[in-house]
Order: sequence, then C-alpha cells, then structure tokens
Amino acid sequence: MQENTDKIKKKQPLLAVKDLKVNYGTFEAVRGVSFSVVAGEIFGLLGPNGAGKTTTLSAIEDLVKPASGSITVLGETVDDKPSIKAQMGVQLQSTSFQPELTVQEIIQLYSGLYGKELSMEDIRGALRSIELEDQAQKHLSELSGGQQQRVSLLITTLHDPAVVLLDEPTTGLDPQSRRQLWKKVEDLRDKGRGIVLTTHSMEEAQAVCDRIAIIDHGQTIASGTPTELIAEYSHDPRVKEVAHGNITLEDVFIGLTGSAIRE
Amino acid sequence: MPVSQLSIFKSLLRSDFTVQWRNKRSPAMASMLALVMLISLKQTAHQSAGPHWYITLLGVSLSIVLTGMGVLGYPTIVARDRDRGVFRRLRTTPANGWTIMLSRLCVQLVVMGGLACIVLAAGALFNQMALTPMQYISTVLASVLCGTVYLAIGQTLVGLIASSDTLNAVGRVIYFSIALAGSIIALGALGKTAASIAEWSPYGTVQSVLQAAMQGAWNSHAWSALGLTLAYTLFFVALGIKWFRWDAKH
Repeated sequence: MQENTDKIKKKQPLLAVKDLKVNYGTFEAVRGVSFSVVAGEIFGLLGPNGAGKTTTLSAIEDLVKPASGSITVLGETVDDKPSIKAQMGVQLQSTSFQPELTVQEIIQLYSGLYGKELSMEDIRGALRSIELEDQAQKHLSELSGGQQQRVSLLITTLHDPAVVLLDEPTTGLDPQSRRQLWKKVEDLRDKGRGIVLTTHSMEEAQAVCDRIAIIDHGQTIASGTPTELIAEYSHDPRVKEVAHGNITLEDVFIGLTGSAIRE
Repeated sequence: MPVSQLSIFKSLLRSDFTVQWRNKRSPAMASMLALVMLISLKQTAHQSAGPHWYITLLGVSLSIVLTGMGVLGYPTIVARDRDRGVFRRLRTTPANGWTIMLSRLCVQLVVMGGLACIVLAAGALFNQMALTPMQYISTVLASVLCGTVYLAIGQTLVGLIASSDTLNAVGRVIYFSIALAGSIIALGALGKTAASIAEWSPYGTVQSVLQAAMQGAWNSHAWSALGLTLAYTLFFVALGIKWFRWDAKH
C-alpha cells in the first residue's frame, strides 16, 4: 500500500477538484471541497449521511452545477462535454436502469451511448466475465442485489474509462458479493484507472483505499492515507474517547464527525 | 474518438422503441377510446355536423386521443422514469439532454401515427367514411404533426413540474381545458372573442389542420393553422427540453 501511495504522489491527476461549492437553494451542500485522484489510485470519500459525498460526486458527474470551484478530468473542465463524460464511468447509488429492458439490452444501450457497438458474442463474453452469462435475457429486477451490482459495475467500465466514480457500491451486498466487488475495483486500479468511491464501511475503506478524505457538513475535515489518518488522530481526545483498543479508521471517523446519528 | 450524438440517438431510439413495445397497454387503451367515440357519437355527428359529419367525427376522435397521449400519457411516463433515476443515469453518459428527449418524442410520434391509422381504419369499417388514398395519407401525416403539439405541451409540463403528483393534477386540468376549448368555446357558447381565441389555440389549429387534411382543402386559414401548429410545437419543445428538470429532488 505504501509503495502504491509513493507512486501516486508523483503522478499527474486524472481528476482534480478544487474548492468545490454546491448549493441547493440557500442550503450549502458542499463548501470548498478539494482533492485529486491519479492513475492507479482508489480514493475514498467518507462522511456521515448528508455530509455532501453524493453531491460532490454529482458535481463531478455534471449532474449538479457547482456554485464555484473547478473540476477537471484529464486536464479538461467538466462542463457538459460529451468527450469528458466518455472518460468517466459512473455507478450511482441505485441501479437506475429502465426496468422494461433485459440485462443484454441495457448493456447494448450503454455501450452504444459510449460509441461501442457490441455483438451478441461480445455481450456474452462480458457477462461471462462476471459469471452472469446465463442471465442475459432476464430483467435486472429478477437478479439478486449482488448480481445487479456486478452488472452495474460492468456497464460502468464497459467503455474503459480513465476515471471511475462509485457511489456506495457495496450497500446491501452480502460479504461474498462485497469481496468480489472489491476485487473488481482493485483490478481497475491495477489497470491504471483512477477510482473515487463513497462507502459507509470503514473497514473496507481502510483495506482498499489508497487515500481518504473525511467530509462533514460539506467540508473536508481530514485527508490522507488510512495509516496517516490513524497516526495523526490517534492522540486526539475525541478519537480516544470513542476507541475500544487499537485505534481504527472507524474510531477516527466517529471521533471527528461525532456519535450523533444523522438522518 | 468523440462519440457522435447521431450514434447515441440510434442507441437510445432502439432502446426506447423496445420499452414502448413492452408498454403496449397505454396505446391500446387510447385506441379503444377512439373506437368507442367513433361508434357512440355517429348518430349525434350525423344529425349536427351536416354532410361532412364523418370528417368532424374523425377530427374530434383523433384530437381527443392525441391530446390524451401527449398531455397525460407521455408526461406520466417521463415523470415515472425521472423518479426512478433513469434520466440521471443517462445524463452521466455522453448523451446530451436534447438527444435523450428527442428519441423519446420520436417514438411517441410513431405511436401516434399508428393510432391515427387505426382510427381511420375503424372509421372506414364502422362508419363507411370514404376518403381518397391521398386524404388518408395526408390525415396520418397531419395527425403526427398535430400530435407533436400535444407532446410538446406534455414535454413542457413534465419539464417544468418536478413533482409527479402535481404533474398529474396539472395534466388533467390542461387536458380538460383543451377539451373545453374545443367543444364549448369553439362552438360560440362563450361569445365570439372566446371562440376566436379557441380557434387559434393549439386545439383549434390542430382541428383546422386535421380537417383540411381530411377534406383535401388547404385554404389560407388551414395554412395559417399549420404554421401556428409548427410554431407552438417549436416553442413548447424548446421550453420543455431546455428547462427540463432532470432530477425530481433538486
């Protein structure tokens, strides 16, 4: 992990977010978030519910317009440019595909949207790679949660994007499906993709992410590698108060964001 | 290599047709409504509308069906997909908003053309309505054109109203207002000024275009109505796509 982190620090960013601010009416959802992601890196955005994680991703995905700040992918500003969107692979919190279409038809549609015409054999091959070859004619709702997430991740990466954005990809998955999904995400990292993900699982973030930013109330309150964060905050009284035994990333997270339940 | 919006449009169109094919219930219900009108209103139209009674009856039946599809059916389906996050997902791809919406509108226009054929066939079958082949062709084309106005109004409604419940309520009000404009105001029940406004409303211009197509009589009034129909279409489509609310939440 440390070796990968050292390599990362020397690389040019694939994605750069600088002083991002997003408002919903008078509510300031994101208040000056900055981070960058390089090739071969998994970057975790952590935060309680309503902290601004999904809004930050939505701004990168060009789904909401920032009030100020800049977002660049491969050095180009993200501003409703199809060429930039073609460099991004997006997995939203919910699967959000048309329920009338079969798995095969959804793959056909999304590959077409990225300018890739896949033959039936190509689609079968892609489904074989996620062990769902025999599910091609089924509707997504007929698949299990884990199978749906595998299809969703396949569609997200069909066009071989430079930057992959995953919003809570493991929510609702059983341990086997989660393990399989993280393996896929690590494979993407090994292929040199830059990955940004949000998760509520601190254990998984600690195990998988190269760097992390903890955000709360729309602001970054801590960032660094999991090891750096634990070392930096292990003596913080807020963290010590909530820790049981060895300090973990979850202790740091709860210490910094508070124990109160967020809606 | 950049992806062309044309190739994106083709992919969307194929998928939207597949979805429409699997949602046949709505057009089937619209056809049934038209058939019921053609059969049940035959006597009334015969007595009140003179020698061209069947043209009036066809015009009214087509208008009611097209209005229902454009103002009630189409916005409901689009709002449902918006609530499901379908548009949000599509917007993360290189497809731009116009391409996404135009694909859906094209599918609806094809469905409207099909419905017009069914209504005309039913009219010929049940009411012995005799039109020339040219009149049949021009009526189907006019129906598609007129359908665009109602779709465009529907696009504006769903584009500007994020809440599905509000959309449903407003859609019904607009639908009945259009029907009212056609059936009461246009007949002069609320005075000449109101009748004149109704005549140049989207409903009135659509009626004029449909009747001109069915009678094969394109006078200056019909051409003006056609021009205004196109203007209404462009205005409402631009309004409904440019300011379309892609997300029901924000």
